[in-house]
Amino acid sequence: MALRTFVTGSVKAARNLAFALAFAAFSAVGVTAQANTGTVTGLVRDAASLAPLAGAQVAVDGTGIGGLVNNVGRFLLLNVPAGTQTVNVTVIGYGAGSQTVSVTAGGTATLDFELREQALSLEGVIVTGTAGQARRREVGNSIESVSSSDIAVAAITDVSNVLQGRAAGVSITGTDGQVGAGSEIRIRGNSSISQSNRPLIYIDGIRMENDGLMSADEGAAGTMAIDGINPNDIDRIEIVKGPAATTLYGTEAAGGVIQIFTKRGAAGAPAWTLTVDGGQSVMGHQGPLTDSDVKVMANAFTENNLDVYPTGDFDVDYLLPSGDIGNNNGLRLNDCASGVNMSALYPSINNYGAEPGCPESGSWFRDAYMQRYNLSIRGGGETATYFVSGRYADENGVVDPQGQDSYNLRANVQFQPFDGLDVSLNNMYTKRNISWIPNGNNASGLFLNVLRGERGYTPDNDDSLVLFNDILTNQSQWVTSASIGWSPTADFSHRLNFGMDYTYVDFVDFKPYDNYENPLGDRENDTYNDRNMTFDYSGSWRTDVMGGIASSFSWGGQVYEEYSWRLNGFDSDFAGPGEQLLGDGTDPGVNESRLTVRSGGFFLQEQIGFGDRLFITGGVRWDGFSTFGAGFGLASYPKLAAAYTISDESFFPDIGVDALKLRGAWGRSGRAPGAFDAVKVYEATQADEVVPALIIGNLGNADLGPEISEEIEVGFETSMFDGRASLDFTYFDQTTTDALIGVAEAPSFGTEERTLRNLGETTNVGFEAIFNVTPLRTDNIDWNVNFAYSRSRSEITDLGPLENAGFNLQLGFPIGVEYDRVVMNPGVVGAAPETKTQVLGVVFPTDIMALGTRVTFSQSLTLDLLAESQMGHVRGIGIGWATARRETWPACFGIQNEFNNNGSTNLTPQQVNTCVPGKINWGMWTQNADFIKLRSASLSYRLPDDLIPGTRSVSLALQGKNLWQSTDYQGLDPEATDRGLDRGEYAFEYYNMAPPRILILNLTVNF
Amino acid sequence: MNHWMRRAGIPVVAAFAVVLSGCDLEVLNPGAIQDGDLNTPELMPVLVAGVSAEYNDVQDNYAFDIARLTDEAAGTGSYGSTQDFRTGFYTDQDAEGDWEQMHEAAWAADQAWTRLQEVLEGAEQTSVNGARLFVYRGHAFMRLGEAYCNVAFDVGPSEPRSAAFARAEGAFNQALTIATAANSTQWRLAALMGLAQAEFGKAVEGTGSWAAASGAAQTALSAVTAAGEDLGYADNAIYAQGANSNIIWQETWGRAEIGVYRTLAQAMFEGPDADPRTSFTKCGEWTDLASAYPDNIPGKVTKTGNCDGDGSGAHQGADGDHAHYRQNRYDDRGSDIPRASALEMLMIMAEAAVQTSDYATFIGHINTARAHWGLGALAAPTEMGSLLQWPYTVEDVTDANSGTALAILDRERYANLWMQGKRLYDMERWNHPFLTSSGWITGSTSVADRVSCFPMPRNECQLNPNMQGDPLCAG
Repeated sequence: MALRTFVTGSVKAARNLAFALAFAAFSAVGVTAQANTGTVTGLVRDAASLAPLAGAQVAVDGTGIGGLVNNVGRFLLLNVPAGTQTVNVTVIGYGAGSQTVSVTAGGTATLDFELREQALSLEGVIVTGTAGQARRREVGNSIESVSSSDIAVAAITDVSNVLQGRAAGVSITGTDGQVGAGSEIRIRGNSSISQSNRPLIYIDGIRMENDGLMSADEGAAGTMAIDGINPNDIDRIEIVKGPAATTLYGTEAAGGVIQIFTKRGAAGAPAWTLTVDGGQSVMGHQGPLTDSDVKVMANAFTENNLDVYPTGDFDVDYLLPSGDIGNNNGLRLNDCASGVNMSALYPSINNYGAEPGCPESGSWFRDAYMQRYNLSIRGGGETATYFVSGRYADENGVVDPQGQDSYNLRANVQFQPFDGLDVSLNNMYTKRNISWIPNGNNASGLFLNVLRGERGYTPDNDDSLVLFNDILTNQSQWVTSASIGWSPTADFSHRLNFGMDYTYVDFVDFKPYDNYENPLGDRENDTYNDRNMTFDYSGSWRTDVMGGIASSFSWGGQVYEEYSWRLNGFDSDFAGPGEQLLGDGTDPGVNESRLTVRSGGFFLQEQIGFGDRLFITGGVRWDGFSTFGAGFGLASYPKLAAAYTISDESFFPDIGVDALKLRGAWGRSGRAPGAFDAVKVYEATQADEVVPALIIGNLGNADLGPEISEEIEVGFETSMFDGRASLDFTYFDQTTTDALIGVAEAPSFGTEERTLRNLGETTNVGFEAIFNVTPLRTDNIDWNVNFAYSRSRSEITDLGPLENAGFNLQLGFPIGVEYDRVVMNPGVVGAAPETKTQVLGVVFPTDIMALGTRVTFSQSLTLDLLAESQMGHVRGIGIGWATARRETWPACFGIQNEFNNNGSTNLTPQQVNTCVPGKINWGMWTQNADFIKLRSASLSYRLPDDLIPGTRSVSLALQGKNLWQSTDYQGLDPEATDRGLDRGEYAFEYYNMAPPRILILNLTVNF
Repeated sequence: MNHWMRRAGIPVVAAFAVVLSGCDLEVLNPGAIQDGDLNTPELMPVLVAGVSAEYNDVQDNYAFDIARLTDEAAGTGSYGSTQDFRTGFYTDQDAEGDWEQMHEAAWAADQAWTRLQEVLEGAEQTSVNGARLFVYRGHAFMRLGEAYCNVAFDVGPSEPRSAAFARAEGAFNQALTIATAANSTQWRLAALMGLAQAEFGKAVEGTGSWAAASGAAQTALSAVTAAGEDLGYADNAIYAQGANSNIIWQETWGRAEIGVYRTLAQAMFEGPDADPRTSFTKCGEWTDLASAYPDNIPGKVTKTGNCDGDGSGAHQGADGDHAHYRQNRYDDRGSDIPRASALEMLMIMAEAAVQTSDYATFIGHINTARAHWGLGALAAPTEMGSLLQWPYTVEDVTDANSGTALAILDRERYANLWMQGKRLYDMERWNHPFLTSSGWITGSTSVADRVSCFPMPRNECQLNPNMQGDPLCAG
């Protein structure tokens, strides 16, 4: 039976298909060849791994006969005219395949394809940033994609990891080492002063929450909704990087868009995939052991201001004796059982004793085991296909009892009830139970108390007492969406996406009765609900206007609503032990908040194509938003883009270039103000002896509108030497005007309330370069190398009447800086320190480099490595700053001993203001935080196909994450970040868990 | 291409536009109260309570900041502000928060008064709520005048701090009128004590007289007595658990940001009088006081067991360096802080007497206050003498220097008004030796000259067009 489908803008060859797709369950039973025709069947697989390429399009050239590859990689073409035929195969992300075959009447010819991944394929279809779908050659802006094969091969613990180092211009920061903690995602850095710089996240066409779901404040960590997605369910991720490309997404898309597409069903008998992971997380040694581990430290300002700090001045001499510095238990995190008598070396420093509460193992860290089980099934028939999966993961953190249990379920179903109609239903449920340890800037924090030793807060220095507290996050997520595509003809299509992302978080921070801080106990309970509703329609109509000129007109609109509500309860002083609840104490209290934000917008877009080489696209989107001021009206965002595949021109020289596309785009997007920013409101509070009271909440601004980000990007994409090399380069220049700034009246006017106004301006300039090369390709070896480098440099160019919008937002400097006092006379022995407050550097990495390589031997053994370097940023080593002040930071013992004995007579201001309690400046502990880490190392082996009966394939993999790093940073880790999800455009380290090393043994069975 | 297909997009767009236009983008979120909904008489007490909350919310900040800037407390904590303030370092940025909040308290009172006039239509002139508003407003002006070197109002140019006291006087007079009409003893006493403070400020700044200040204080004190109250009477900024809690309690009982270690308060409480006005508890104690550099890092702190179960920093300062000596003046998160008190009236009268070297009258007021605390009477001084020299000696807390009026005034005003936010103004008008001392309480050195009043805040300089070019904004 023939089934017609229309894939708008699919590959050139496929576009001419009549789409007589034969899906006869591939048993081929009862299929009878007609006279003078035969059958062609075969496999389409990845050349490197031999993995089936389900969904690949197969077509017989010039016949209109074609079909899709099924879930085990097999295709079947019926009624192929007898004779020599050319069969073409295309699939997104792979180079096209083409072979001839001899078809005999009534016979069956077999033809297998092994396609190679291609970094640059202009015929590939992309969805993101366009009105519907478009071929890459038609798109005038940079779009990047991460495929499921990247996910399969790497050591992944959550979805944020997938993007780390795998997409140029995307930075993943703010990572805490506790299992379940989320990360900050940025695309092309920061461009907003006061609003979120996080990208929008779409999953299967509907918006997903992109803010932190709720921070476990006592644990100094929080979760992100994106990490609730099962990485095994992801088919691909497309990334749109800036306002020039996100125009059609309207307000709030200025920070870019991440589109996640989950796996779909494929016709064929049920195909099962079982994945079993067993692994271990290990924390490396924390802190120096000998003087050689104490690297010279210079604050970032000194290194960049040689005029102020003459060469040779800016390294701190810690006055440490050579060899063992009396600190063979590091910072007491790895070894807390043995003490060191340091009186011989540092007579004035307290002994560095063993910890009374040290675990029996002698270390606060444990080898933390994980186990994960994932089972999926994929299959379907002519008119309906499905993909169903389930996952269970038990992942322990490196400090007992930290860890996460998670459960994922997914059911994606597609229907094609009649020609041209395609209905997809996608459903996800995730449950995560996370147990945190108290950490960070928290008097109950484990690291804080361990590192501060006897100058911590725990009674008798028994730091195990802090683990008496229960800090739990129980989080459930439902994402359900429907996508209806209707294509009455091949050139005319509509798509309707609607759905809901709903998250429920139950957070408990419970200090039981008889804890050391509050002997009667206390409890906090937050319940947080967040619901995102999307209703999105788009349509397109393609037509050939005249010879060689094609038109594609698109239109559409979106309605979006976010509703969040939260109950925060607290109680204390319970009558007795046990799992006491709110209301069981003597001081119950509760806060409630409910917020709704609503937006609606529509767009028009026209694309003109000339000779399938030059494409010019123009469009505009109009948006209304509930948070705009009453007098503002609609926001409009125009765009203009051009893409020119110059290599298709006859005049283009034959110099080994397969394809060269030049592109440029200009466009705008925006960010909306907050829910109450535009209106004058009062807030209820309590006054005096707890009587009701009203105070001014916000003065409002009726003219408040979105801030507007405008971007120009230009670049090119080229593929050379038969796909063995490709280069993708993009330069972008963003300007954000009407930037939202909270501006107060002169305080003497009377109110301190800051009114959000559209006053500021920022710029953000940078580039992305991606180079991919295949140095070696033989029958037995396939070696690929990928290099990516990206840079983004922001600057606050206008703050209206202000010089800064917070200490970390200074006029004339990047968004998010470290700003503090440093010594201006560093090397003058015995001199009184002269200090000055300076901008010391930007806290977000400005430069990111990724280097990856993959080698496959005999299509079965694959080594995959990925290293990432984040550069150009500084970080406040709060952990050193605060610990040195308590004389428990070993690197400072030498200076402190000297000061305790002789004062500052023999010390430089650099030494004094780095290490001497009472003199220490945060700025002196602000240090270059550049690093390079081996993000992923994987060795996988696919067993011979027939080795295990009943299976289609079996593979084993050994995967490692963060196994190696290099940095001059002298804190625990340049990625450890205090309350990473709450700080806005600011980050520093303050007794936080470093990301551990993770080793995973993976077994994947397809059957 | 079929013709219908060409036009199909148009109705779809139109349909979507209809859907969009029908979508209500005007979300009224719950929780916030619209300005227009407040114009009912029943809500006036709630609105006035809000003004009280605004004032209370900043009164304790003043007390906390001034304690860290003066010899009232030792900054033993880890806040960046504590690190700076304890050395006498205080910038125009530091000055922003207290300035903003206190101006807002005054502004909120004015806004509420306007609404009272609109809603009560004349009845506000005999309403306790009206009197309350002017008391809050008057005290907001008083705190600005006491703390800031110069003031500015209504986006106007800078003015000497006497302008704040003049505004305070006007507000307190209006409060007195309304409170009298409303027959409210509580708010009449509050207005009278506020008036005495305003007269005191004017006297200090030379726009009033010490006689007027003393007279106003005497009037207030007489009214307190007539109302049957004793010398413990005060008009308080109110704090409570569940509402606005006292920040000094939080920072001394909840954590250990400031302490009494090496303050005059420690010396007085540990002196022969065991002065109850500066009572404190040793939560931690040094184990090696003989350390070579006791001014800097005395050494290990041992828990005394006196403060078990009350805060994670109970035994040592939050900086981990110092034993925590916890003040007992505010021993509950709901402990109130006086805006004005009967004891302060006595101190005003005593200081006024010193101006004329009337030592008998002076010591009479001092001893009246001491008697209230159960302390013995001091002999009348015979000379003006000089203020207490920092670091304080045993003699400072004994009667060895009782012959000098200024030393007694210094010590007694310190003890009676301890941690009420008054000490900085005392130090400035007396040019107290502590301001130029070379050390800070817990060791090390201070800035050359400690701040003696808050500078003009930077944001006022930036946002007030009338401050452009003002020399006060040059720094």
